[in-house]
Amino acid sequence: MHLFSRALLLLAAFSSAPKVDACDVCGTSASIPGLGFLPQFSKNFAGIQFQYASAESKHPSLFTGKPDEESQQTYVTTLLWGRYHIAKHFQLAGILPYINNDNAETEQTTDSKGLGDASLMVNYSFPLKESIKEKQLLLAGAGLKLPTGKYTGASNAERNGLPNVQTGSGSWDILMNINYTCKKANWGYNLDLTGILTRPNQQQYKFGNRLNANAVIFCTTGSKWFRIMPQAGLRCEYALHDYDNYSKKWLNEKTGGMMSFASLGTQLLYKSYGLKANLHLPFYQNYAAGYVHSNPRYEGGLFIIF
Amino acid sequence: MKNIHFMIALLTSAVCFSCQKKDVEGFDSKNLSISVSKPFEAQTFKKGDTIFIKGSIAYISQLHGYSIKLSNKETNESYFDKEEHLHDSSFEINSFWVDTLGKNADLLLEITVEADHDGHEQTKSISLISQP
Repeated sequence: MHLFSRALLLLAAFSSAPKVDACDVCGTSASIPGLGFLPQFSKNFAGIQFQYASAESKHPSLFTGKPDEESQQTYVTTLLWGRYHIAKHFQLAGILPYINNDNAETEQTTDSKGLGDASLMVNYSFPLKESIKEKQLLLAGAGLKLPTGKYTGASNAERNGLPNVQTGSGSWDILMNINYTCKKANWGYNLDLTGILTRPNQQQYKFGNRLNANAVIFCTTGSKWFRIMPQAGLRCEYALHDYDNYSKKWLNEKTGGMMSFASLGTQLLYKSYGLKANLHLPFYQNYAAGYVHSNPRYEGGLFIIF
Repeated sequence: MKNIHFMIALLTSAVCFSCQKKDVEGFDSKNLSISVSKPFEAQTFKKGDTIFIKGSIAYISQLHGYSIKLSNKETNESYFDKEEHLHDSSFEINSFWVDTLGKNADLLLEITVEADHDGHEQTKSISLISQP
């Protein structure tokens, strides 16, 4: 549990991160898809996952004497994802999302749907000491988030393309991931740290670098053909400020921040077929100085191991 | 295990502690200019005349928008109100209002530039006269 305690310390450190200022662009940004964990580490898998997230924001108007501006955002993502072993110790992981985001403000509603930014990563599994009682897996990888989603610009006159509800970022970004799983008898834990180093897109908008940390405890029960894996954990998302124009160094201090969630979920595995469901309840958030509030998030998915 | 500690430290550092530079810290009001070519100070208009409002705004860094307000100096009644939420370092103003008052009134044209979302703004005011 040594490593687990380190991860908790890391999460605690995030919880005391400095406050960020008020928000400019309402809503949370699209978070990075962490690999999470699935049973039978050594095998390939493919699956489909559904994610639902929503947020609300209320902040003072830019113009003096005008009423506060309110908005509600919903983020619905359906993604195909998979993992394939391309060589001993090396696996290829990919995510292809379909986005359906919606932003409702006092005077207008913006609906963005379409293919999102695909991600491709190569992971290396480190050879670790194993015993009958304890199994562990350490993966570390890097990859790219490709600009396959649509990005229409951050500040056009009609403001009909809010950057955080668009289907893509328009940029080639670097992904990094560390994923550690340890299992003793029927109990185990998984730690996942995913970072994204963003680059500016063609319009010079640059989303802030992001870091997702997950710590999950799970247990497994059931028979040889049917397994149930309840799990609980913590999730922390941290984002630096965006740049409205990176070449001019127009830092948007009204973006970025941190959100922490308590996670509950379960996985059901019948032979090679799996079903997963997760609920993420926000318990601490300081996104845009408290003007933006994330609501509970829901995830569900189907996968096949082969 | 040393590997994983190193990787966690490296990943966290790379993502979280990247240098975030900003071109200008704070609001530098001396470098914000609001230039109005039309109308000019104390210009007189009559009912049916079009008041063209033209000018330019420039700053050394990003601006967030501007508003135009035309109101009665005495009663503060607003006759024209326009807001633009834009992100750029310079804006061109090109707007108009048709005088429908048909009475003597001292008008005040105010062009307010929003430098940021923290309430930093600068206003240029021009007095106008409306006659029947």
